[in-house]
Amino acid sequence: MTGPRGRSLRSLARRAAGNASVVTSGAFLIAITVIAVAAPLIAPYDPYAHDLSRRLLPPIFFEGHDAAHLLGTDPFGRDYLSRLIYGAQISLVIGASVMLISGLIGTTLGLLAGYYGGRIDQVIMFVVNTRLALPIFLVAMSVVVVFGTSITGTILTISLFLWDRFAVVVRSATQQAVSRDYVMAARSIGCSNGYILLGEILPNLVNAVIVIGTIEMAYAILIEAALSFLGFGIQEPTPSWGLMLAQARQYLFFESWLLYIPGAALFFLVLAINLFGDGLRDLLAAGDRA
Amino acid sequence: MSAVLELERLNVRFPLTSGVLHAVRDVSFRVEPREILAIVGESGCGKSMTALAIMNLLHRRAERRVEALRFRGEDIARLPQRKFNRLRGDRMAMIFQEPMTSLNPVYTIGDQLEEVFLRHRAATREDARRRARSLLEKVGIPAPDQRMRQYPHQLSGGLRQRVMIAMALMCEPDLIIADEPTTALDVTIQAQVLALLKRLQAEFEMAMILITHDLGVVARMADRVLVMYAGEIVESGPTRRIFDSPSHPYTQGLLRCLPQLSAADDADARLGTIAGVVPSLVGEVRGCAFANRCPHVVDACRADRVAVAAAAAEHSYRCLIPPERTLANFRETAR
Repeated sequence: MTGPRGRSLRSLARRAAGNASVVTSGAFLIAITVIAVAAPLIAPYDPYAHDLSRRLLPPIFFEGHDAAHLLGTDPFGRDYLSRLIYGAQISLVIGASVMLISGLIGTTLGLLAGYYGGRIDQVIMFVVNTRLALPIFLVAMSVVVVFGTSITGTILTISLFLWDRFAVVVRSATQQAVSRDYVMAARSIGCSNGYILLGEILPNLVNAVIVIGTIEMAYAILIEAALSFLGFGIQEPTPSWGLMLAQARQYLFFESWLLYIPGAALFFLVLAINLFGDGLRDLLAAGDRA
Repeated sequence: MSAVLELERLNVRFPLTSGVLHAVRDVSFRVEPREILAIVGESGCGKSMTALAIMNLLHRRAERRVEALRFRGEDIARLPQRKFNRLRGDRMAMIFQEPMTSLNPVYTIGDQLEEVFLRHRAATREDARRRARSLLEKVGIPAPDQRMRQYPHQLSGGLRQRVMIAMALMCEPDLIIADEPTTALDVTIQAQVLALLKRLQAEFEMAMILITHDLGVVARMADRVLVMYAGEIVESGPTRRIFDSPSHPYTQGLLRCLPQLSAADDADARLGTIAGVVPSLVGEVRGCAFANRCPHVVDACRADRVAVAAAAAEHSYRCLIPPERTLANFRETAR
């Protein structure tokens, strides 16, 4: 059986090929993913190797550069390009994990609230509102104080802050779906609540969940960078773009490229994810109209 | 032979902020094997609510009270959800009004048909597909193999309603509830779908509850009729009798609203109407709900709940005025 998924994916791919922003951002994302995965093969140097004799070398497009270090070196003499490449791993791993974990939490809560309504809905919406009232940086700081820092800790902390949009959107989409006749028809043929939620309603919400997922992934990457910049996220010597920015801060006036390079990387990655999600939303909406 | 479905004193209420809405009041009836029972009435009279209450599909805020609901002799009123789900779709099935939205847009027609069969039978995917294919042929869908691979949006309304009928028949139910099955279709398709339903009902030897607001549909389909008004049954009886000697002023009013070909050359002939509007069902309804629209109303009508009277065997009505008096007036104005 070809199945509905196979066929609609093929038609989606066909329409995506005609959408310039999806093609460009998609190509960029694929490239950055390949670079991150193949970092040990691509990176010219060990990102952790200090060489104080070659510290603060400018990148290749500035005077006084060293051709051996395309993007120069940081204040400890570590190759900036290698750190940038390894930093992409951190950003992508954190972005993807947060998207999955928060997506799972938010979609589950949204489905339950939208389908059952009543008391369950009230409790879940109370949790959503409580979460909206929590300041992420204060909580992240407390987590670091109590548990120390680790990548897992950073992922879990950010995940617990980004599920609310999934929950709210899935909840309202579920409420709409519940009143559709096909849900009543499913009940009339003897489907259980669990089957109706996962087998009948969820497949109709996949588009919305994917689109929110891209938005939240971009957001998670930015939050990771911000947490690392403030010292609550990834710690030295692990290469993280936010951490590179934090170190570059004191060299702002004389070695400003230290700031521009990770900043530009972050900017383009987040822009690409957002453009991709945006284009995807348009494509999927067009699919709904068909 | 015992009844397929027996319903005793069904009440459906909705607690609203402005009071309690009495959507269905003390509705009782039986459905015999192999009969088509029509429930007829205007919008909001509680006919769909009655169907949903039988299938346990009411909105979660609705309160359903029922003295007895027996399906093939077994009380199913207080059956746990899990057991009830085994009946739904297998022994009793429902066809909905809106074929455009009753199919899930993300699954193919074949998937959705097979789903019913796999849910209730220990069957393989292959069995289910064969069954689905044969039913699509039975409901008159050309090129069934191709249709099975299509999505609901690729089918017209009439075809989708045929798919819904096929889906309801997948497990050969004993009872099928058709809730305004042709209302959303255009007139030529309506006639085809009705003929199809009637043929399949006879072929599968099913009982059918047909919910409609169209007396024309009742006349050509039903063995017996229940007329509902403002949440209660105001008259019930064999179709012939209801059309020949309607005994409740509301039924008489409905029949007067039917256009008559014999009256077409009469210049003075006008189509009948029922003056007034349906009373609010919020709060207790006192006396006869039809009193404020009834041409024969007397003071006693507004005092107490009107009891059911028998006009003949199998024919009962809920009115204080003896039918001989109202009927004379009906026959005069209807001609």
